[in-house]
Amino acid sequence: MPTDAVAAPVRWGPTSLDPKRIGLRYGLTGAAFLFLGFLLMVLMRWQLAYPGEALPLGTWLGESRAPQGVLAPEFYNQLGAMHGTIMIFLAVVPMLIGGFGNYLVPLMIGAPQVAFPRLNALSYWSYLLGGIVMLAGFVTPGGAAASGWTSYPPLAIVEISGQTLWLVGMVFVSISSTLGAVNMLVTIIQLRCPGMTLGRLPFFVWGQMVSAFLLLLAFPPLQAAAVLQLMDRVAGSSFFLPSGLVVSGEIVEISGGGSPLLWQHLFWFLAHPEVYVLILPALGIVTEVITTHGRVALWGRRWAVGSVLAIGVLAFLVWAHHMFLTGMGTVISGFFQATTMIISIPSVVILSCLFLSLWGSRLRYRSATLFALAFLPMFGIGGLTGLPLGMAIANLQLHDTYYVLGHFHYVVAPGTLFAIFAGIYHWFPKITGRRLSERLGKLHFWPTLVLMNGIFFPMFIVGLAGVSRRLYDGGAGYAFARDVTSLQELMSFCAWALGIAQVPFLLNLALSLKRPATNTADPWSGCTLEWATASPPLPLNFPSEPRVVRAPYLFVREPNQTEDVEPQWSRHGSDGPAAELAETLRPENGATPTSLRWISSPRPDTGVTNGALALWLFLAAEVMFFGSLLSSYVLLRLGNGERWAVEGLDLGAGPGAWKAAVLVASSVALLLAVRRARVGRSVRALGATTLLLGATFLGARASELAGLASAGLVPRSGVATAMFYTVSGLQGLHLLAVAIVLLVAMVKKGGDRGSANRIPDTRPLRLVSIAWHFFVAVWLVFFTLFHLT
Amino acid sequence: MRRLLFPAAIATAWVAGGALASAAWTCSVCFGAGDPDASGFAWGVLILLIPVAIVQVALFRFLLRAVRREGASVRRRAGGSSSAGSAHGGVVR
Repeated sequence: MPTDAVAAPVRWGPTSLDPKRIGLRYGLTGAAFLFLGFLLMVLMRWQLAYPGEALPLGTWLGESRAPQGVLAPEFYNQLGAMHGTIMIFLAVVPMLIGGFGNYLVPLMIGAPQVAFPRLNALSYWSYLLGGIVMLAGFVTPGGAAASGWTSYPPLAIVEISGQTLWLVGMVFVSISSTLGAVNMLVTIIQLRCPGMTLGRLPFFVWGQMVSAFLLLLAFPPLQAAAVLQLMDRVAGSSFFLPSGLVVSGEIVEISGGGSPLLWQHLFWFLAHPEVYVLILPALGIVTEVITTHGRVALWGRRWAVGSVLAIGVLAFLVWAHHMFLTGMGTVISGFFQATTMIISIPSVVILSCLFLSLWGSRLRYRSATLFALAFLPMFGIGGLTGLPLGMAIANLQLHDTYYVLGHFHYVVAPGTLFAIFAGIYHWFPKITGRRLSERLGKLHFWPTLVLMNGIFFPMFIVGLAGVSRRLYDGGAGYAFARDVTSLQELMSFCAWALGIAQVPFLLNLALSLKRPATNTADPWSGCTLEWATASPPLPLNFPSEPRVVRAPYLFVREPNQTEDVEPQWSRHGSDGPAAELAETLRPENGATPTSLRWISSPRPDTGVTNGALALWLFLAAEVMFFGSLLSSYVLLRLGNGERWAVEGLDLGAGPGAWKAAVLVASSVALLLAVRRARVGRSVRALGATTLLLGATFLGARASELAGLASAGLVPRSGVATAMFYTVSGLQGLHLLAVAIVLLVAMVKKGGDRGSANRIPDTRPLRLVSIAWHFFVAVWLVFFTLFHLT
Repeated sequence: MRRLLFPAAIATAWVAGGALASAAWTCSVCFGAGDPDASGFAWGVLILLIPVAIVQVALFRFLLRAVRREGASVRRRAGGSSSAGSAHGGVVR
């Protein structure tokens, strides 16, 4: 029964806070970036197939980028760096987490909204701004970033191109990820509808939750690293530049004392978990598609969920397998080799669960199913070819060859992208109320499958022949590579044909959007909650709060049963499928939207409010951020030994001690203020004292930095001064931000006191005070290091 | 006692990691003998892992507590109303 009467009107205002709108925005923006990343690859592929030959219409790129139509090496490097950056940070992850996650997670857990709609919108705009800033490098005189998507120093620091824009853009993207991760985690943990226990969460939601957790903890170290590299580029410090650095035969005039390997540690600390951020939501999508279209339960669901959690822990313990060739000791290499082998176990468990689920299934071979099925061997190939790279001995031979390219592209391209296509075919009817053509879908699938393998499989052969992935001519200039360079042409042909193979998909989207909507709520007879509401879903998802009564993926197999699915929701309550509830959903029949819960009182099972959980998660991210700075400090200080000291720099225990005492006093005053607030007494005096002490500390800090600068001790003077400036500045900025929020909380609390018959709301004050104490504690740690050791 | 098991295991792992740090220094040629860079790296890596361990333990304990509370609540409800349908009623797999 069509439910078009209840279909939500689509509004596209930039201020819309609906997670479905924001999810679509993420999806479309990510798709636009994906297309751009693909175009960059198309240009690179010409150069690799026909090195030194003029690109058709290449003169359009301009004389500096393509002299006489031939790609310049510098521009080729920009294309490579930006292709990787765009695909990973701006396309695939935002589509999976921001797009699918925002749209589907609230629906699947029975929530009307996300926990923090404004934060969610801010996350999107920050991502878009970051992407634009990064791409702006292409129109600057020096060009875009050109030192690889990994931005390894010293190259990334000494090059004159748009690396600074890359770093600034990365800071925005990482802010976006942190905000989005906090929002997603609080939404999943706090806003589950009645009956949706953690054990009943669909696998897709588990994937999103662990991915958000990975983003929350992994991005802050890169954020810290980006700030340090920005300092190196802008303020002349040497966090990542070693002493005696020679560039183009000349000694670079820097203080030195830094370590390029420090960047690698911080970068891979993010970038390896980022792989799981790509994979876990993709596995979630494939699970939903296979179970729904196969009418089968997820085999070993508990094992699969346990494996996702195990990946969430282990993902942080494997990063240095990217650094086997950096001269690490055998013990550390052995440790990271072992953890890399161990993390393959949960990945294999999940893949096995999916394969075993196919046993006895009743698969409908729709487009979504085909893409999901193809994902399994593609991801399998990507994963298994990674095992030799995880072993230090094999890594010596394979490092930085085309083999590595083949390995991670199998994970990301035919792997994750196939999952994205599967998800689009699967949820398109839910999002638009229209079906995609199966015929065009299959016409899209088969060439895509063949061509993806045509691009990436030969990479293993070229890589095993020892061809480096970073060669401008694809290996044509090396005798040992002559037997395999013809494969470059094959790969390029397949890459260009892959672009053409997407035409049926685009045509399919366009044609289906032109057709009248059927608005069928549950076209696939799904069992998870998103199928319980109208297509497209209502503005607040459900007419009333749904109630979940069972675990997902329960399909009945008796042949005489008319219904073959036991959905998660109750069929007979007021929260049944929209098809059965068309009348109730009509606004004129008094359908009332549900509202967000656990804002003012703690959720009984978690024991916290949404705001409190968000604050603790933010602080977790801050622990990682300042922990990374602490790690950098220790690494550089111990690494420099006697060279750490900078002539004339004596921070002294005394001046530092009184500032630290002022800061501790501000914390004590705030502690007393919160106590008074709890019993309903005025906190104005103590709050003002806290702010005054905080301002004194910040003023003294600014004066101290100005004094150092006037004495000629600047970040350029040495790693010690650079570290002092950076950490002081970052801690000061964080404290200033909390002081502003504290001021707002106090003003708000003052307003509350004026309300008649109302107990003053002390929660904001208490939450802000926790953040204040945290940043005070951060300074006490660094005070000990800077002033007392 | 059981509540302390997990934190104790994590703490033991870190102590063991700290003890191994001296053996983990730098390349297999010199094993970091007398090289400050090597000790810097070993301790830098270990310190990078400490916040991860703290946050992971905290978050997993929080989730574990939520699961336990949920379980207790479901059991309470089930005890109060035996007429509620089974979560797996009518399902073969």
